[in-house]
Amino acid sequence: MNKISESIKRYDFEDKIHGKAVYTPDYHPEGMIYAKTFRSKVSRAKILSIQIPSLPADYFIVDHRDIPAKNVIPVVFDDQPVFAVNEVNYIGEPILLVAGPEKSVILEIMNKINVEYQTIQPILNIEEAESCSAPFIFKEQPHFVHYEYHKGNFEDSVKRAKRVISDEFKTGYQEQAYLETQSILATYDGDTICIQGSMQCPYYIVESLEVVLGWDRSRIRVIQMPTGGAFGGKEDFPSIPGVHAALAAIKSKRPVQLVYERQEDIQCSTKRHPSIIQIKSFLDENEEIIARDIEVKLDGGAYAGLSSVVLQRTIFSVAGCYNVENLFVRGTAYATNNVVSGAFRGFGGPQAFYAIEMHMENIAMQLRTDPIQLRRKYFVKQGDTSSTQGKFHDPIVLDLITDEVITLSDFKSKRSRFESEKLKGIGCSVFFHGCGFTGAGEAELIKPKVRLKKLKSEVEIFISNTEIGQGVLTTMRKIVSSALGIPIEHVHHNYPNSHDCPDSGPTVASRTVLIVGRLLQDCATEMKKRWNEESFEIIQNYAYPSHLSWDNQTFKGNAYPDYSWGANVVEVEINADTYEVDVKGIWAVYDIGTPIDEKIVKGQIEGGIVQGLGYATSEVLETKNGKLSQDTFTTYIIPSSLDIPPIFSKLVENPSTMGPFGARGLGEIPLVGIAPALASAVQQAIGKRITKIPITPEDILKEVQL
Amino acid sequence: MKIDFVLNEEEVSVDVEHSKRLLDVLREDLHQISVKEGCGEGECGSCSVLMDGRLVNSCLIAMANVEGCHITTLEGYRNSKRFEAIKKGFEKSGSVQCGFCTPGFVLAAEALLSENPDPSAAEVMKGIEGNLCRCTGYHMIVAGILEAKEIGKGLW
Amino acid sequence: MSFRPASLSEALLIRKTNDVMVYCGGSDVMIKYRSWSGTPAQFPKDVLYIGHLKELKSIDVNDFEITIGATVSYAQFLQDERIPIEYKKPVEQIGSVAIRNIGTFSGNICNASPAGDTLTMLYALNAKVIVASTVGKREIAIENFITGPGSTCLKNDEILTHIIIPNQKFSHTYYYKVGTRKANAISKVSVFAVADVVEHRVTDIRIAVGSCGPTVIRLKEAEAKIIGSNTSNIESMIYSLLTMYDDKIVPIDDVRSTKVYRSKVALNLIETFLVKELGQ
Repeated sequence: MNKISESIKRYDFEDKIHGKAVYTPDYHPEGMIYAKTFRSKVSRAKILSIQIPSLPADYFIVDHRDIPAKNVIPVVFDDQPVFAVNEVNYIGEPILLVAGPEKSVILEIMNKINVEYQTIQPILNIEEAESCSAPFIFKEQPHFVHYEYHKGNFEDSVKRAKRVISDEFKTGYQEQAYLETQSILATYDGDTICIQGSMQCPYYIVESLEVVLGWDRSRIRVIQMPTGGAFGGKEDFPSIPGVHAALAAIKSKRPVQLVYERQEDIQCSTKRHPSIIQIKSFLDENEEIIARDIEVKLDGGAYAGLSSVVLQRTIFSVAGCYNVENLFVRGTAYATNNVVSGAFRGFGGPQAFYAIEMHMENIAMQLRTDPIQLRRKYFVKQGDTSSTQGKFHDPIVLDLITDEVITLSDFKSKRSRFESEKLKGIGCSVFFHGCGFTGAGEAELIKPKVRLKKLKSEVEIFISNTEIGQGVLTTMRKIVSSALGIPIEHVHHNYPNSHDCPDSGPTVASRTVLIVGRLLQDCATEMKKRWNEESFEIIQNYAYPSHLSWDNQTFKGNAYPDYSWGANVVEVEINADTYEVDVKGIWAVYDIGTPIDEKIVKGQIEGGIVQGLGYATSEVLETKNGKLSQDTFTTYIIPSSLDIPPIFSKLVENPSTMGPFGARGLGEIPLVGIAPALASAVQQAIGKRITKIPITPEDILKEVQL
Repeated sequence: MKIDFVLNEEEVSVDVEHSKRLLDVLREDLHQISVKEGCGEGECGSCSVLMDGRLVNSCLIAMANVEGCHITTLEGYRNSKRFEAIKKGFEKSGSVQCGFCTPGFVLAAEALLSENPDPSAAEVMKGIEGNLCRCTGYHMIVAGILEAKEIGKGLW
Repeated sequence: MSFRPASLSEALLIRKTNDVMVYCGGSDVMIKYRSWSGTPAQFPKDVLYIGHLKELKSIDVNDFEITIGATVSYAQFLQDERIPIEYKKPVEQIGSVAIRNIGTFSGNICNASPAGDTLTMLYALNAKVIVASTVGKREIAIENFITGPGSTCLKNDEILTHIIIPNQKFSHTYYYKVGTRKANAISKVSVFAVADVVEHRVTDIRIAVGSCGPTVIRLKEAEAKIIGSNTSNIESMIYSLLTMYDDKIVPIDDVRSTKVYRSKVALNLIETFLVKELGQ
């Protein structure tokens, strides 16, 4: 084992175990007031008028008229307003804020606000969006983006085909359900606006404030507070409460706390995209898969947000771990009057792998062949090209990963035994996660920088990446101290502050260890060369690796700088009376390169697996007329301690050539493969096909009664 | 209304409405920041405290029911030897990630171990059934509590 | 306004002269009437707090009855070694450790939700409640006390003071709750059933179904049909029995489950009890 992999005590442990870590809602600076968001109660309407009661002294209404520069939250397309002006496009869309010292008075004011709406026919799901006509939600089209790409000679192979196997799969919403709701504290000293809060990406908030306020960056400060979970839900979304609280602080000249209630948080924060994925595989006379035609449709909700980027990941991943030479892949992110869909651990990957892995199961069933053997036959190898024709430069050990997971889980004997044992099933999945930003985004959009500062024997890390429970405050110290060859006690690292920390990019996309960790390693290597100097600092810039290439117009090249790989096996037994799925065990094997800290890695794996289990089973989240039906922790069901099966995980050794000390990205991949493995197991148990997730006992009853 | 109760072994008196939540009084009036609000409806256990030694969700307790009770928060409990054992167990087992649910789990562990000093893994799972964690997937917390019972043998 | 009386008699006086909502453990009403974090719960009426009343905090057990005071928590019930373990099964699965430390039978009964976790057992065991007012007491069978979803025949001047469960031994008890998950879950369907089988002959049987209608369902005509039967004959009767239940089980579609699922699972659970459990 690599020395760096040995676990150490987490640097955030002491504060957290003692309950001393100050999360945003715990902090009450002198003179602080509260703000609450007044939101749309309809899914699509013109706002005809807004009546506001007269306000007592010290109470404020903050709305679009308080915006000094632009009423827009900049993400990709700049279509989402900070506050709705003439129209609303989803239930929960912010219209204004009420701020003041007493919550009870704020509630009284909120109750007296009256909005007159003229409703417009809403677009409520993908099917409606596909067939909708004007007025459109986004520009003059029913979607935010539509993409297509080809590989090989798709048309000719289709002509050659002797058999077509086609499927359609549906996946639902998923809520991040971080334990700490969205929380922001804004303070304004007459010159500088300071945002402290629960967040993944401080610089996203900096950029939003620049656009909305029109201020110079020097007057904007964003500080991450200890953050009670994020999982993508605090990637782009905190820009909204961040900007809201900032506007309220500037107007009131008082510190403003904006903390969401759980129901409010579920109703209006971003969710995992619901999807419909159609896959057609074309087989020749030898039953070889020669081409695939894949169409992906996502429900993006009312504003574009990150839907374009999520869709890219879905369509780049949806060919799976398989080398099929001829592909035609297209994807559309539709605009609907639902809550905005956004980032969630896996970022389009879980939908893609659910579909392709279930499709492979179906092909195996149709061809009456072993599902593992079928997969193995098409596994990508070093030197092959990806779906986007980027060369896989590094060794790919899918066969080894699959061998390990099969052996650990005793898959073969159970699979054949369960053929005759009713209501028992076992399923597997094989998957990857592209680590880092899509294409050349890292070099062209993010341009990450890290800074290391030496003072005598002490070194301090300055990066904008956040500690969201995944261990950044520990892993980055390990990387720097190992690269410098100094004891870790001499390396310091705090929660990021945009005044001290350069923009090393957002804490997303399984990129922090791979990209930022590597930059820190390189920076530390430079520092080591000058170690005899007493005090100095180094800023290290990212350079796009010369062996990679990407064309963002044609989607040709290396869609991701590196990949992590994995395989899962899930065993289930279905209750004959109640159709409940009892998960007997989950086995998981990954190639994430060298683990930077084994205990932290295990925590990421098990946590991700349990989120994947929820995604596949209990986490039902549906909209009815644009309103989410499961909007509290009583109705949105995340797994409890009694719902989790034994989990067995293992890593295979295959160090990355790109990441620090051979590490690859890890944060997302554990969630990605659970749903298809579980669904395959349920398929075997009931002898019926499963084409949607989450799989509820109600669904299973429907299947077995057919 | 004046409500007298004992917080972490000290007598306190607050003047609040009967219908105010214990959670809000602890956080806002008595600065017990370890007590977190995760859901406000008794589902997540982030606001767990001990009331006369028993685990409760402080978001579901009206102050009228607190009169004369002994309330323990992590601010009080963390000075105990038992806490040290749980702390060591959690450190060894990687039981803490984002930390938001952690105070609730520590107190749930105390409530469990004080009733059953030698729980099985299944009993630990049952003991933490009302505390949601979205980061760890629970096994590493269960392992932490099982470690703690060994480290703190004789303390419960 | 709120009241925190020192005794039951004081509480009854308050109840007589004021229009108040009775608050016991709070685990339901604190959710139902919660307001913005940091602000007090917004109860629709003045509140009478009785959760602290010691005189209602005891369990009495004799050969004939188990009498549970209104302020007894589920945890206190579970810890009482005099209570048959079969009766603890539904209670062990209510909410979570922390919920069971404050929740009460009396609250669950007065809340009168068709999904109330104690109700199937109370219906099956022919439990009664005692309600008191300044003028006296009434003893009411549970199925008469609960009149519909969320409604009871408790009068404005009354307080539910005790729950009486006949202390009877059965050769068979059965409980299954299907929740949205395994802990801290609201029931989608639940069945509590008891039976006495003497030399393969059923001498007593009661089956109560929860979450499948406006109140808990018990079908005395079906039970009567089974009583006297030999357990080996039940399988041959099962179709007609299940048809009887199917007619009376009228669940709804809601955020947790579907009508179809609830009906089917309730019938499956009844069948399992009658055929598999009793056959053993």
